[in-house]
Amino acid sequence: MIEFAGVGRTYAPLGGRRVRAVDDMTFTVRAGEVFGIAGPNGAGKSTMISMLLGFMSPSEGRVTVDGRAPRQFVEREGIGYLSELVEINPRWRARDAMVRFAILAGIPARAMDASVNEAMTLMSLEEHAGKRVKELSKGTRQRLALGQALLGDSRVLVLDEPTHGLDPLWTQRFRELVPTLRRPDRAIVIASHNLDELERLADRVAIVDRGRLQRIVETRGGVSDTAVTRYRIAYRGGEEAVREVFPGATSLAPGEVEVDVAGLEGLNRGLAALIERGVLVVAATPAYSVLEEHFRQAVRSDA
Amino acid sequence: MSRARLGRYLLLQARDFIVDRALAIVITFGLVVMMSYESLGPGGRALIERGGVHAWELAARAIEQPVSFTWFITALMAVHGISANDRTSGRFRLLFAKPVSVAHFYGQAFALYGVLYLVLALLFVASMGAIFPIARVTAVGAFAVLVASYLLVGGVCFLLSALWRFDWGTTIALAGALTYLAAKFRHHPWLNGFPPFWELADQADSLKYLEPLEWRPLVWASAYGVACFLLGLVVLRRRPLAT
Repeated sequence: MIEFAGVGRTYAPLGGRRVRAVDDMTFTVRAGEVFGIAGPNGAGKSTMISMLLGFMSPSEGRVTVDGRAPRQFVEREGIGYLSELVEINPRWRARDAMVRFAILAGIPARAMDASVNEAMTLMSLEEHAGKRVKELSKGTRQRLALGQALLGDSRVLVLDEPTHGLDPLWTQRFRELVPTLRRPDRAIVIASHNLDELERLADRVAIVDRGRLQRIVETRGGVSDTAVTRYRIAYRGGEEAVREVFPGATSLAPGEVEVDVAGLEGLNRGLAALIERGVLVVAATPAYSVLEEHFRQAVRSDA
Repeated sequence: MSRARLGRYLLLQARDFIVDRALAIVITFGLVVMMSYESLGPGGRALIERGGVHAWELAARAIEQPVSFTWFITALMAVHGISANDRTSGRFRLLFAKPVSVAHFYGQAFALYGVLYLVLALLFVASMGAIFPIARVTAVGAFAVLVASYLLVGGVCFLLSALWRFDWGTTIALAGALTYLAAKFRHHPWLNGFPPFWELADQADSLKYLEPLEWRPLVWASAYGVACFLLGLVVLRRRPLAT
């Protein structure tokens, strides 16, 4: 559905320093999947999204959406888009803004009221309907922007930092909402700093750093059987035994250490050795989630 | 999603014009009408009451000054930042993720703003006519200057707005520089390639003579403005919205 083929983008401001924002990026987002994009600040996520929406062209390579140039696709079908920075005319009233976006989304006049009311209700914006955008809190503005992104039944949804500014309750509701947006013919792209969120919502996550695609992680994969993974081990007694079995252990608190272990077998051998030495093991859990582990490796390995 | 029917967005663009731009234009026109009336003095008012050719001449001079003063600034108020404001504020992101053609959106806004500006111009000329016994030839001339000014100043500003963010400042600088150059090098052929702001200034100035205006410079200025507007549409179709 969405294809980045050898995409590069260089910013060359007049009289300024050339900046390579995206370099040789190749990946595909399939219809029916939720695809995450993760990366530190300045990794190139915003540039990728701008190219995906046709707001700028790649310097090299090709971006296509459903086989067409992005701008062509957007002008014909539209993309449900929530931008990282929600910029809506501050003088518009909330409902008025939703009506404007609904008209632009091509919703027919006869369905206008129902669609706008549905979006306002879904985002619990009814009580804010008459307020000006400038009077809304950051979280409410974010909900307004999310509501407008869902207008019009788009085949592509792009949500850039969707829970930025939302309170925990709405963050939870957003996480419950995304699975309901899945459709076999729809691709959903979520860019976020929040790895936990991406791990819960996305099928695959592209990790980008300094403009390059570092790796694509299948989030449903689980802990690796063989790779070196960092575990957090909680125990009672036998601190010396812990040092003996895991010489590189980092102490976090009394009775709690972090250790790097190669594979599940290595972990189990180490735990058996601790138990043999009379240590009571309370818990052994991965110190990072699968995605966090990949993120750490991908972003660090290239540093 | 199906392609948006931009025609349905027309009323909302009209509302934007009224809220964001019309008030400033009305205040400007209103102030010059008031100033013209105040500048008459008792002698002028008595002359107007007596009527006749002298009253017409006085009215022609009275309308020439405000038109000369406002034709540029009010047209600029109507169009400045028309597309650049959305780009610099980032508002383009949510607007143009919808199935909307950028050129169509702003092209429609320019046409609509033009119609609404001309309504205000008509009201301005009519309110001047309510105070002064303006001859038909003067009223038609004043309106024609304002129509041409929207097309030229608006068209140039539309193109500059499509190109970059400093459209109003550039339009003012360009008009100022060209008016100065035209005064210095009146008949040099190289001036013909530039937006003929000085032609409109001349036509506004000649309103005081109670004679029909020259249509050629007005048509040339209007055509130049329309060409700039069309070029602006091409730029909007091709330029990246994000930079």
